[in-house]
Amino acid sequence: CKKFLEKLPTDFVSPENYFKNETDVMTALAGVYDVMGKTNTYSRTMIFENDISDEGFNSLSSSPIDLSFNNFDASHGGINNMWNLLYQGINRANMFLQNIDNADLVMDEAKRKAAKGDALFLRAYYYFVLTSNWGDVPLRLKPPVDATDVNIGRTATATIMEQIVKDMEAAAELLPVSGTYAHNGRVTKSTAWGILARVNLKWAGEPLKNTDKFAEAKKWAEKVMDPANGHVLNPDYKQIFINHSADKYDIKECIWEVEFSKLSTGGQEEEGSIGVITGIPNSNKEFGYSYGALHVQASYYNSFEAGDLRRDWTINPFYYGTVGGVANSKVNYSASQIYNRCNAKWRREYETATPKNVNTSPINFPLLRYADVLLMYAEAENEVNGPTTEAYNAINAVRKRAFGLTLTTPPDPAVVYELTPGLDASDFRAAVRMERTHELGFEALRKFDLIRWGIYLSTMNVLGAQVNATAPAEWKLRASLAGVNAAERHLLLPIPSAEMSLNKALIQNPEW
Amino acid sequence: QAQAQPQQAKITGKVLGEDGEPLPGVSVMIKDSKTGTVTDDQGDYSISLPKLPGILVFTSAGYLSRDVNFTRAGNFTVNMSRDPQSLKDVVVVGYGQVRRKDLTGSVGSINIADLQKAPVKSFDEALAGRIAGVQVVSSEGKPGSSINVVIRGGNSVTQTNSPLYVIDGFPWEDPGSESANIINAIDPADIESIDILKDASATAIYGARGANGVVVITTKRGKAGKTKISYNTYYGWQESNKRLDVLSPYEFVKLQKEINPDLATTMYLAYTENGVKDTLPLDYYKNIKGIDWEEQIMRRAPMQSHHLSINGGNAKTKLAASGSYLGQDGIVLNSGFKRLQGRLAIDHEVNDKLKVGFNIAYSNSKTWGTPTSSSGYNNELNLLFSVWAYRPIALLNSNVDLLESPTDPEIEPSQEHRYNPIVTTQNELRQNFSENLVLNGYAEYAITRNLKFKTTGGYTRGITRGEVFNNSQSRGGNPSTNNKVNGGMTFYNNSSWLNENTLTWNRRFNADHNLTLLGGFTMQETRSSAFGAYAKLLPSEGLGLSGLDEGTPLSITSTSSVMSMASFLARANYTLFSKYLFTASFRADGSSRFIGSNTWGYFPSAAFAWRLGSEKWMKDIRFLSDAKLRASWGVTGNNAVGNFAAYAGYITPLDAGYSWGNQLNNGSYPSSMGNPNLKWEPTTQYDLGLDLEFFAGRLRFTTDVYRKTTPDLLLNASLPGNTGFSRQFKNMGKVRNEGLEFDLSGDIVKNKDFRWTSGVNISFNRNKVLALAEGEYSLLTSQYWGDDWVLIPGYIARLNSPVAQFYGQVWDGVYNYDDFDKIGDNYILKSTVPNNGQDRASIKPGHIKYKDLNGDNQIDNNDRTVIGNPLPIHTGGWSNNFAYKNFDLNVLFQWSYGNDIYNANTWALGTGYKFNTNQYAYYADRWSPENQDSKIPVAKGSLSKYYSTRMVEDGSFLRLKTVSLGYNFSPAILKKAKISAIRVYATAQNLITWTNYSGYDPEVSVRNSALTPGFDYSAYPRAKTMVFGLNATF
Repeated sequence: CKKFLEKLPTDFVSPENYFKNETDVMTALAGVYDVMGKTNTYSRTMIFENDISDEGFNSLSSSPIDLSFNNFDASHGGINNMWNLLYQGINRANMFLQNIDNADLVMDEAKRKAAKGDALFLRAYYYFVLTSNWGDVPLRLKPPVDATDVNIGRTATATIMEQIVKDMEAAAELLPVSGTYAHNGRVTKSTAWGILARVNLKWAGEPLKNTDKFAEAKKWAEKVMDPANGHVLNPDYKQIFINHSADKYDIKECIWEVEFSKLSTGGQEEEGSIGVITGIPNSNKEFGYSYGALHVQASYYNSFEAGDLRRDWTINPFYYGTVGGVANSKVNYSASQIYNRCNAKWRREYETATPKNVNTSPINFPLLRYADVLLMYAEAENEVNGPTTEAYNAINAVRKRAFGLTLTTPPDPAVVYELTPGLDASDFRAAVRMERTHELGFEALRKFDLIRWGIYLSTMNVLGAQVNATAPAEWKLRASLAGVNAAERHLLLPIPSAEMSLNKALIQNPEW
Repeated sequence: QAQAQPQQAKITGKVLGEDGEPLPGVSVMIKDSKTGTVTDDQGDYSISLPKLPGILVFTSAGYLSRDVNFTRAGNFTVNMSRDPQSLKDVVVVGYGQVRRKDLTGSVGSINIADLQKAPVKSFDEALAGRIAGVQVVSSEGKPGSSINVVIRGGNSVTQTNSPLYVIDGFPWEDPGSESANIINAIDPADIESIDILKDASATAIYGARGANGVVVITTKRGKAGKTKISYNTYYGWQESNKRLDVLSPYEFVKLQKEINPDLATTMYLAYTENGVKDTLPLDYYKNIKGIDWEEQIMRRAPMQSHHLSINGGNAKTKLAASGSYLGQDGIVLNSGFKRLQGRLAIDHEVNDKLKVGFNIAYSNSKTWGTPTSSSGYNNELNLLFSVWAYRPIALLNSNVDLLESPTDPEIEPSQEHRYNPIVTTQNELRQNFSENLVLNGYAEYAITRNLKFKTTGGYTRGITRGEVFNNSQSRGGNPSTNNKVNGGMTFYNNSSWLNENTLTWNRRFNADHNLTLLGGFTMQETRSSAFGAYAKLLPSEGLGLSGLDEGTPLSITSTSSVMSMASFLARANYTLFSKYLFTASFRADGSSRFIGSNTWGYFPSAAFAWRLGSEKWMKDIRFLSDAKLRASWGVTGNNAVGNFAAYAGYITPLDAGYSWGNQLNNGSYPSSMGNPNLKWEPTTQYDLGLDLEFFAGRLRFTTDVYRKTTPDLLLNASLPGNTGFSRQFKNMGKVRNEGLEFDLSGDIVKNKDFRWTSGVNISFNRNKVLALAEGEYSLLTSQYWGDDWVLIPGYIARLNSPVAQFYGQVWDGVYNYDDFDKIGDNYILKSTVPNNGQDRASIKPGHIKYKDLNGDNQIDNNDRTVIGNPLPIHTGGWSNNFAYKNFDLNVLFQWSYGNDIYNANTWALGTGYKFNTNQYAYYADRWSPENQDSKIPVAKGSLSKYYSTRMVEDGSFLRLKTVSLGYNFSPAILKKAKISAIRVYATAQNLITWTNYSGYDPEVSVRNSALTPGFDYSAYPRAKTMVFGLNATF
């Protein structure tokens, strides 16, 4: 009778029977990575609604209530899901780390070490995204014990940052060097170092302002820049993004990407919405359907210097129209049509995998580019030692490409691309900030940068007023809302209402 | 002649029933003595009378007792006739039958002859209003849609509150399940009896599965005697006359002009003639008749049923067989239900001691049609929303035929999910084919005269094939979609076997003591699995699903599950002086769903009944013919969790992978943290009941008062995101149900020509949450009907309140001019007037207004309160049977009082929230500068997504549920044609409903659960059915 009443699960495996071999480990690791590519992480929310800054605005919504307009509350679905997904990633990593050293796991040691590094790094990265968005957050480094283990208070941001740095440094030891993989979907030492630079810059900025960390940021950026790692800029700025569309990898420039891909059967389960929710609007499915929902601010467009090739790649100078009976012809906008233009970095016409799906695409999204590392270095060096030659070299390397001078046939070899020499530290700081928005526009960094520099509110409020005063009526409301509404509380997201109601140990962020 | 020793008079003989069949088990007693016997299986008896003459009393359950005077010894055959009340007198309880007067528990018996008069596909559709304490709510009116039966209020919060169904001895935990819907598989005409076990004394014998009550269904078996062949057929129509009117073309264009004046003018009013541009006046549309989409999609749908049965046998072998066909088209285009079923039952007496029998049933059914209400990602995807919201007119001078065009050419597909509903119903294939096989067999062996052993074995198997096909005209498969033509099939398999062994010992020591002991052991194992495959980009659309293999594989579903249960049960019934009745039962259940020391659960019960009516002093109360007081206590359980809810697991679903270097890797993750401490959800129930009979049984009254308390609820608790899990089963919380039930019935008129019997029942149940999770005072739940609504809780379960209450804002009409300061041409909301959840600057006169409950001058989630109660205060029914000469008339009323309904259609069709989206007709009366008294907000004036009292409506109703008028041809006429009986009839179902509810039907609860009852959004209307039928017996 006892045996008759023992029925083990037939449809899933228990954790005790898992983590026995390499397949189990790699499958579980893919589960940890899985979180990166969801609708409410990098597939959409984190690159669209939650990344609205002075670069662009949401043109899609018919209602003035949206995360992208800084008009939302703690029950907002996108941020609820984003929070849940990040913690799911953390829980998956915790389960993974709890089992990866099991004695009965049979696996190649180098692969095991690398996989452990992946999980350790990703857990830290998820915490970094959490703390950047929410400030103090619950810290779990082990899976919950049982269903009563739910009430867990917020850990101070500084402690979270310490844990992130500790884990990322440990992961850097375990991870393989750049070049080990022919792609940039998995993290390497360079990824860990580059993200450590970003983490330390955040730590040095708002809200903790631990300026000692500039030196740390510089140190980690320098490590990436070590020629032994082989990182160089792609000579052609636009090629970086064409590669994302065409499923090609440039591991020298693009150190880490969120991978979206089409299943071999043409399915869309692992696709994202890069170039679909963003991109240049087009309703032709074969060419590449795009909502083109992320439009640009005129001030952003106008901030590019003459000759900067990045402007007309980041922002489409044309729309797709029918000319002489030819559909999808590129028709240039008039000079006054600025707000009509979109974030055009990722363009579906370059996708090679077919059939192209309507609501999703296999276009990858960059999380760490070498250009970013150079600019982080320039920023940190300036903060530590002032605008040194090294700082100038780093920013000028990025600018040289921006003006086309690294192309095999530069547009005008005589153009002056260098940053004005002899700037003081403050002007250099401003120059780096400008350079970052031009180089890294729409790469889910601008809002984060503005906040850590402590200028998000002032920038957004000024923008809102300016748009209200100058934008054409058609665009005024949508382009101005995020700026007009931006207030102190928007420096952090509210703890999701679902979490608040179920986790009794939490206190909501101020003013939410 | 004097004799020294008076010889005892030995009387032997046979007891026969009405049809000449021998009656076993008839009690034969010598009047005014304690001597007696019972007839054996051949109906034979043998008894010695100490003296002659004497009187023998023959009694048998279901028969009128007979007193026979004997003046001499010898062989006498006695005929007994059925008690007209007999069907009500024997009650099928767990593992046995008892006479109603010996019952200690609370058991409701359906008057099956009445129920069978309702033209319904399955008995659950006709259950409402018949038994006190049984609340029946069907989710919507679609043929085959789920029906929720709740007995004495729901105990469970997140799990099912469905009772256990015991059908011919076979327990079904989830009879309405996708893979084995046994309820839809039974033709109501094949049912012999339905008894509903309500209190713990009655249900505890079903232990771990008895807490939600038990519905015991017995299908017809053969009866000895003349073979009867019956044919029952009806044919009729269903229709819904209720229309939810939408704006006329004139009002539609007027609304569009308010939403977007320029665009509306361009689309509907501007035209060019002879090169001259001009604009029509709005009044032009007063004479235009638009498309009535509702009229297009609704139809008068035929319904028919044919049922042929044969029943007969002799003393040894009895047989019942039947076959039936039922076809029911839905009143919405392309939906319906049909079923073919057959069954056979044979009982055979091998010898004096051994009886065997079996029954076998097979059914094959098909349910089809696009669901009208679905939990899709967008509420605009719902079918009836599309019907109401679709534009009644095309553009001015447009030659687009909106009826034919799959999409509205004027809507942007990325912003709007509406799709031509007519095209949808014609091109979306959604059908389920179900096959059910039931095999039950038993052997009963009389070890001694008092001791019987019975073993039963049962096997059931259900297979459902779900088919989905989206052709190139459908919403999901048209050329603009990714998948193009696509489809798939899913097979659900479910099989279960059961073995039950019981020993029954019965002994009447003398007339004062009667003891029955029952002991048993049962085992059951249930396996289920599902397999499905979907493919897209099907090149040969014409092949339908046969062409799946030519397409590109899209997904495969494959799941399996198993559960087993072993139980020991015991029951003792003791009757003292035929006045004091004691029942005690005990069941121990072991289930594979609970592990370790929690595997076994123990469920005791005890009951006492006092037949006051048998007390001498009661005899003096002349008008009171019988009385019984009942009291019971017991613990029952609920095991309704997933088969493996206790286990932690890793799963590898298709959507959890990640690509590295464009190579997809499957991903796995922990899906559940498991809970090895999971255990039964126990319910303790007390019941006090009183049964009274007046005027020699002409008037009968039963009342019960009960209290059920369920601690350690099996709760599928939400977990905070920080755990990395969304839900986990836990034993926590506590719920109480208390109630009162009354049932009064009587033979009001009893003449030779005219007879009127009537019964009314009413029940009150009060549901209260006594505890939630540790330290939790309320539990918020949202309803899934698309968009962000998924995240907006509209229901609250609060301590010391019912488990479900509506929760939201209090609607306060609209802002009027005096709420504003007029600055220039702008109306600026006064700083002292609260906003409505929107930015103050955007609020204008005519926008919706809510009550600022916390007085902080702004409307937000802190202003929410309880805004309605979806649970009725009382429900009931009133049934009547009239017989006048050869006519008979059955009339059943059913009601529900005091419950509210969330009419979510109000939000989508009464707010003017979107351009080119039609609204209900009443929206024409919205606020405007000329209509300032209106409380209906202006277009786009209520954009905040709040549940509010505006959506809450009174759902009370009184329904004339069944009216059946029949004519019975007199036997004299029929005799020549060798027909025993013919009844022709006309029956109407759901004939009239009196309600204030503005939607289609107040009996609605889409996606029903204990936490989210009474929700209406795009629900399928309820049909009114009219049939004409014939009932012939040969």
